[in-house]
Amino acid sequence: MVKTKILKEEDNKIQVLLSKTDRSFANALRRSLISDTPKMAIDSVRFQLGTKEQDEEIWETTGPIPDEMVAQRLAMIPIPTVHDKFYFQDECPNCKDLVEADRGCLECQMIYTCVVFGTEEGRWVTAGDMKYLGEEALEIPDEFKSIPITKLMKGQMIEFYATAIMGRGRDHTKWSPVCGVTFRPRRIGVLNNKTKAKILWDMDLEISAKDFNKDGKLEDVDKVAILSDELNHVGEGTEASRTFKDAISLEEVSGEFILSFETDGSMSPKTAFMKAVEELAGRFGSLEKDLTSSL
Amino acid sequence: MLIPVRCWSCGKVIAHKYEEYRNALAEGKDAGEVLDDLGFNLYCCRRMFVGHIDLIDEVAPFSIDRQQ
Repeated sequence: MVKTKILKEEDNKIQVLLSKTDRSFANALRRSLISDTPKMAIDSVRFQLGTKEQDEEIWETTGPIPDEMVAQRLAMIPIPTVHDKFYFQDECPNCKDLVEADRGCLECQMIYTCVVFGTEEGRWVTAGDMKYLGEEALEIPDEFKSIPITKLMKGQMIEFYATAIMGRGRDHTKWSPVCGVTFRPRRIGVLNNKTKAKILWDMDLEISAKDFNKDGKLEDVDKVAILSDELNHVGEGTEASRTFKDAISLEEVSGEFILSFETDGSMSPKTAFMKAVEELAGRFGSLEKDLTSSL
Repeated sequence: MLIPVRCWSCGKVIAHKYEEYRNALAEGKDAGEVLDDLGFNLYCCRRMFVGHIDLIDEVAPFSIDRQQ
């Protein structure tokens, strides 16, 4: 049975230790995070085109950035995702029996609207200008409100309705909630030769002999990462390497991997991880069912 | 033209920090240090900032409205 332990958790970043497992499982989890985790993203945008007369001025729906490019930028904006509140359109109890074009209700789509007029010196249209038609909690997070969408000059305006739906990263990267997903085997530092290791201690770097335990091992994940960098001072190609040799080595711990990733801000890293695990479990569950039925 | 919303390689959202990056550079700070402070540690995201040239201010005046 795989065991997981959260080593580090920040707002959008997480580091998890996976133990009693193998490389293929860690990779399955990585791929599940990237392509199977459900996420909300803007999928269609309706631009209102034409001219508008307001305050004795004529405003035209034009601008330096073409509509297609604006739509692409909108798709990339992280939309707050609440998995309990929204369904996939093809699983939505209200819409699943409808044809694709007719789908879309309060339980399977989120609509954002935006109307902005330009100014003489240029007015930035940002993600913060989009208003969610619904509860305030699902507005674009404050952190991302400054994402620029386009810039409008005097006489130019933009008006659109953007619809976000639930999707998966395997269909389009906009539905992938994670970035920089990596895993590597957990390593520990092993002190093989105390006398020769002194060469490294004499360099007065961050890691010292005190960090190693009685058995001559360094197990702290962060410290091992620092040690790995510091070993470059005595590594291959350096003068010190002639005498240092393998006085300190890094050894992989069998069956233990460190998985680290960031989310785009649409959900917490813990939620993304839980959802990825859920998806993977569902996949293995259905595989088991198929196998038992065919045997 | 405009800073991409996300990093092309890893998908991290970067556009919301571009203004802050530009302001810090205008104050004379070092680009590398600013990117460290902003939390962009991967070199794919860093090149997005360093290699970007904002041209929208050059292009915007040419998308003239009907009145003119």
